[in-house]
Amino acid sequence: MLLWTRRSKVLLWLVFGVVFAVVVAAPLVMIVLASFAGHWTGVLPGGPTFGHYADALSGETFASLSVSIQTGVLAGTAAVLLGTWAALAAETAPRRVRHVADTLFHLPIAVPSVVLGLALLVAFSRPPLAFNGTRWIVLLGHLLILLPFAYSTVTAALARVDPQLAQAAPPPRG
Amino acid sequence: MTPAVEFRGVSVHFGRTRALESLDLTVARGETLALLGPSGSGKSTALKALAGFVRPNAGRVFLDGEDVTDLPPHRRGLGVVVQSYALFPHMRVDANVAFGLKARRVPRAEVASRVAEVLDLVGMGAYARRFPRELSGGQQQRVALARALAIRPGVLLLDEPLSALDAALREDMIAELLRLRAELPDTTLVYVTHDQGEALALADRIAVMRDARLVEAGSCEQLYRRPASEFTASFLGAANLIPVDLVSEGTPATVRLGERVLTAEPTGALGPGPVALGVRPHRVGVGAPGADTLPALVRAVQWRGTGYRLDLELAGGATIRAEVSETFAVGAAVGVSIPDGCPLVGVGT
Amino acid sequence: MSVAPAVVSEKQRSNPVSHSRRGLVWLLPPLVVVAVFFGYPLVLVAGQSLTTDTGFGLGVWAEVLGSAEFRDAAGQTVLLALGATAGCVLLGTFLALVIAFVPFPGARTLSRLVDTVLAFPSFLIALAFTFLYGSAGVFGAGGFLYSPWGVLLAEITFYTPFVMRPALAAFGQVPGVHLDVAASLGARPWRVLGRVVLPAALPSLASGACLTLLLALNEFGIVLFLGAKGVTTLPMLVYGKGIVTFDFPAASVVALVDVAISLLLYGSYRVLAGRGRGAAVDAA
Repeated sequence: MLLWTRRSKVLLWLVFGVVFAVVVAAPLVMIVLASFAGHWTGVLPGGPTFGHYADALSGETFASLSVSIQTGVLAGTAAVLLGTWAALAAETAPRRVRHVADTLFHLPIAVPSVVLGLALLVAFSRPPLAFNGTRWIVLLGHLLILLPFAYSTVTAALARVDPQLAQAAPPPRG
Repeated sequence: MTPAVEFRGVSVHFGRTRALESLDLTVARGETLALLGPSGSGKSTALKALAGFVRPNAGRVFLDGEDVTDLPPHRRGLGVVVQSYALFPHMRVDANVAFGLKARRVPRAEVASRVAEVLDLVGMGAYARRFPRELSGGQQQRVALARALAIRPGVLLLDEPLSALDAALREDMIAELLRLRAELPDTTLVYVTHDQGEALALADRIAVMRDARLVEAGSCEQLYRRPASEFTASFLGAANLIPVDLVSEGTPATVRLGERVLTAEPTGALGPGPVALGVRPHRVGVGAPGADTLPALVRAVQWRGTGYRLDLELAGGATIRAEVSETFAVGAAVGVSIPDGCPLVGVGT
Repeated sequence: MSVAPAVVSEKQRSNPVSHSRRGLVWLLPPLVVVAVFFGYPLVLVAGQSLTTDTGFGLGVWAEVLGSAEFRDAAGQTVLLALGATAGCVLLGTFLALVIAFVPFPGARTLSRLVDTVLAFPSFLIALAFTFLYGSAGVFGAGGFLYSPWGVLLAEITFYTPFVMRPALAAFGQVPGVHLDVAASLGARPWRVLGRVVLPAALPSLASGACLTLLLALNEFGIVLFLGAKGVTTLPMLVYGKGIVTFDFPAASVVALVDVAISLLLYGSYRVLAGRGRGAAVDAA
């Protein structure tokens, strides 16, 4: 398609290999190696062990892990629900309103996560809504960050749906 | 005379699929050769091997006597027109046509004049500043042709260029191509198609291909009237292939079909197996049943605009197609007459 | 999903005006959620930024914007983001080109591997970098890691997929036969690349680059984790002032400047993505 001689292809693959190994593969490999390392004094890790994995799945680390998973699942589900709701509603709203809604629901991406955190702290550390320090503020922060992705994905998918499918669907009874 | 194009034992495999098997073929300078066959016959693969888009696993490709098998496409100096036209969408028509000239570092002044010249040749001079998306299929086809001709190739390759056009437009384009060919007598044309009408109209020689192999190659006349294989007979002209019993060999041979004894012309090696008579639908006579005819029943009747197409079932169970000018009722008993001297081919060739 | 559209279409047929109004009504709850939990906090932040010792005023703004600390951070943030984006564009385009046009067995798997980097929190790359280039690491090259260059490389590693994926998608849209025909006309690979491939992919590359710039500008985890001396970005400054020293007004000012730059970039990204092929956000 692009290169025709064996030699030029091999040369390119070599360059690709080097670049890929240094920039992408090396960090990933390192993390995997380190997770199995008993000790690391020399150049490479030594003393392969499953100990770290055992630690990760017990005690305090595990508690953190499960909180992470819970947060992810809860915030993710809420974001998908809210985002889908918003996308479906926006689809049928008048055009100008839809543009405004699009911009609004995509906004959290444009705002740095630190600023979002700061804003939530400032807003919800005092009445009427004071849930600073509770899990709800964490969930809220995650929900807001995830919402644009859910909204955007559903909107894009809706744009691809054949409008004739809706017309072919039987009308609601009653 | 050195042939313009030569394939010597060219084979192409993609993994386990054999796309082309041991092709030996030559094309003379200035000749138009059609590679004709159904899908999967290897004709497009042969063209790609010639252009340099795929590398043969075995065999060599020659252009003007020079071995080009190891040369990349940009060093072969061929013009290529593909089925989808492949016009560059972000460039205007004149930029598309100039692409090859600029790639060969032709001086700018000359580029402009050659672009104008070749666009006029295909009748698209007025569309030079348009974008491909603003053109119809037929117009894009002409621009693609102009782009390939601009570099003044010795050999022009066309891969099913008319398949995407409707019937009327196709007729016009065939006339166009014939006119262009007359204006460029030294350009060799290799034309890939699955349509025998295009092949018969445009080509000097036809190479019939099936299942990655060359079946036979010869002039249009030769392949049409005296096909050497069963496949060629049926593919080129949709002949009926009626199994017959061989009474005596020789030229002409004698065969028996039902109660009738006929003479036939063997056109190639018959082999030891069964033989068949190749009869074109318009040579089948249909009338009232009589002493000299074969009894048959009419199974289907179709109006074709120029006549009727009848599907007939002979006494022995064989079905044949006839093209006649008068109609018959479905289920009627008729008498079929087959002329002497039809081509005789071996079954399975 | 078949219920809502069916209801909608029935309404559509009977009364187009009430159908839009119905859409509006349904839209209210999500809008309210975003307004209350997102809009309101930001408004409060704006309010905070205007809070001086003497009530409302622009005193804090003047003080912060005038400080060398802020100017340094702003400058570094922009430079780092631009550098990271340039690196991502080069690297991402190169990788995508090879995978799309000079494929080798396993090329697709490798591109998935690049995508897995996205699944990590950004500072995990920073962690990996400490193993590689830190003082006790495999290639411990002195201070490389803890300089702006270390941060740059880490950001490039992490954000390359944001350019590579739209690039791969765009290159996938270029029919292979275009490249073949271009070659047959006499074009060498560089010319085919420059005149046939890249112009077709430019909109996607541009929007991918814009998104990368936006994300790199707001990158926080990598910078924090590496704790590079002398590398302070705007998000770091917000964090420092807000969480560490509890100087909310000052933090708010920096935050609002950061948001302003981000919104500007985001606006450009939306315009560019609109011209390209749909939302790169959903491809990200």
